[in-house]
Amino acid sequence: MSARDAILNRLKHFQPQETKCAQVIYPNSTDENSFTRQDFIKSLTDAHAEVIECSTLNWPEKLLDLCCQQNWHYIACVASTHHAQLFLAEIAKEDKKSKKNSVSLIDLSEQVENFKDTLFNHVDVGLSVAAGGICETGTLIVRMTCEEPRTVSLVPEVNVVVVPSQNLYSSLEEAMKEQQWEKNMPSNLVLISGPSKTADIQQTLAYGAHGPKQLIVMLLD
Amino acid sequence: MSDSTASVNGQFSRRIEAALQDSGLRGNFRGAMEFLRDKRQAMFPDLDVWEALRLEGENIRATALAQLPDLLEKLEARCQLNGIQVHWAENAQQANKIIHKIISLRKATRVVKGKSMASEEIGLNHYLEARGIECLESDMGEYIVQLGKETPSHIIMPAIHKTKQQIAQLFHQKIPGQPYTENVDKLIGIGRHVLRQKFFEAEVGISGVNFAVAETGTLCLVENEGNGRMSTSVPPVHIAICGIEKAIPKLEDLPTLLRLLTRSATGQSITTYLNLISSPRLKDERDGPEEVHLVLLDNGRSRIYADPQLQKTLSCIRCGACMNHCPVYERIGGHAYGTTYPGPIGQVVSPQIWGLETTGAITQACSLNGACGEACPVRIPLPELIRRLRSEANAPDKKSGGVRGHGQLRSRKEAFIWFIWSWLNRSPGLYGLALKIFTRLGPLPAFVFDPWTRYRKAPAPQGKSFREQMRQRKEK
Repeated sequence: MSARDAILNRLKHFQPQETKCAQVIYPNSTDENSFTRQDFIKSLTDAHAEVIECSTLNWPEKLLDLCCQQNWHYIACVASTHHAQLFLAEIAKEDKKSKKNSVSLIDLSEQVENFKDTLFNHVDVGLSVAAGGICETGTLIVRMTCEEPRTVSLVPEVNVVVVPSQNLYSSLEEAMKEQQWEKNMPSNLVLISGPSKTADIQQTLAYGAHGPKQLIVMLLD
Repeated sequence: MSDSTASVNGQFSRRIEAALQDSGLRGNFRGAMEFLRDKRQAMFPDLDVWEALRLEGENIRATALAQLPDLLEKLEARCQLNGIQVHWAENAQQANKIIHKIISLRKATRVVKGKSMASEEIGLNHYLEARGIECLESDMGEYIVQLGKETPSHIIMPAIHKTKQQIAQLFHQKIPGQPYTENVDKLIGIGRHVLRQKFFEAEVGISGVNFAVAETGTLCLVENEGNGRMSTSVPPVHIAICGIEKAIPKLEDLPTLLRLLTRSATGQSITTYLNLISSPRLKDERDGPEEVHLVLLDNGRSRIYADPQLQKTLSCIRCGACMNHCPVYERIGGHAYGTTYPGPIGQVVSPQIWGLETTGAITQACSLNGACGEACPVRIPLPELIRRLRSEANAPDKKSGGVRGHGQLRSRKEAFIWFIWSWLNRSPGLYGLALKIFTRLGPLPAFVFDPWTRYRKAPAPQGKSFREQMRQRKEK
């Protein structure tokens, strides 16, 4: 008998006939739909992320300014995506104006085996787009697809995530329901709530354990 | 857990003694436990809300367990549809073999591991290392513990027993070219730098699973550091080890369980990353593992399932709150137990996996104060289950039913003493006689009451028993 059958047979043999569940009554209804954009910003800021409020029109310019200020030269993402195209256009505009090229987009359109070395060793910033945000906990919903590789929001030291404001949900429950997650789970979905951290050394909090040291959220209006 | 299982019962007293004498260790644990308790308490300020939340958690876990075989079949079917390969292992040996086979088929020797208590339970690292495969822990705490050739002392914070000075010393000694520093940021930076190279080179990544959602065939992993995502996204192969009790029916069950888990474990409303994995790299995707394997581990869980009372053990979401609130754990630390799972949940799970005859002694490390049961976010009646195991260990018969090792820890000497005691207490005449003799004997030598008299004077009877004195007073 296979291990599978042995295990399932044992479980089925002892499966309880019924489960009595006591009724759950929450006191003063904890209103789940009460968390706002301000809570979103505060939770992220408390978690050491940086939130930059901007608009659909000016975020590429603000990001480019930030890259120049911080000396970030190599920004990685999939170049064919809409947000990448907007950023590329901004870079081209700036390059024409200043007649020099200080920021470059690293295109991740091939398979990771081809860009792994670059991503690990030469990229400053990974540029991502979120499918939404959760206000209760200051969380970004990042769906990994052909347009959003897993490693973009993981490997580079800085992760910049563009978040459209109209997809801000109060709670995880609401986000799951509104976006119908049960019908369309991507191969990987990650909820990101701040830069990487650990308190494993004498319970002392330190940032930048293995994931990005800096998380920058461009919150569009 | 490795070949040290056999020594758990035998070594327990010695380990406790050593832990109690180590004032550094006691200081570390006290500080850490207070820190974790305070953080958790801040997350549940309203007791009524806490009680409602944990009742909901209990219901979700109970409902899931009631459907467990169906859930596992559904989970397997859905995972396979998604492209995840599913394997079943009845015990540690089978699990290790399956995992080793997957790794050998790729001719891989470099494995990187995210945190997994299930993998500690089966002794995976030792098994792989004995076969020439480097299995490197990537969670900072686990990495520290592995570097020091130790085992984790807590299920959430594995290096909780170490001070930053001890860790600084360890890094300086074991990592080539690293100067001594006690700066925590710098130490974490060193760990990041070393492990980054390992993530880059790894051929296989291994992880645990916090919850496995049957509805969508999704593996849910929580973490703060990013090493879990690294281990499950960068190497071309990802192997996830999952205890069969982790299956839950639907995605909508996750928010409550996650709320309870992260707040109970580290006092966070959410962890930095919540990683939901449903398939390997799809056709148009640029990265992600080419293969994802799910190893469903039984290792005694189906036997626990068979007992209606003990079945509640399987509700555990591995938050560690019970051990954070246990006064015994606080004073002896995790290593003293000698088992993969220490503290209250360890006392309940370990004897059921490895038998009372090897690990049953740890059920005695309990003051029956009940704090663990009150702290449990899914309302596992831990004190009741600990008492049940203690009673099974001491049962007069050795019938094969019940918990493994039923009756194996019964002490005939102790049973005889209780027999005499109950005989005396049932016969008033004999009781009176015994009392008269005892009170006339004078003080017994201290060694009779050892070790009680190590720090106290031996009791000295004062001539007449209380009953006698009262009787005489009445007669007057």
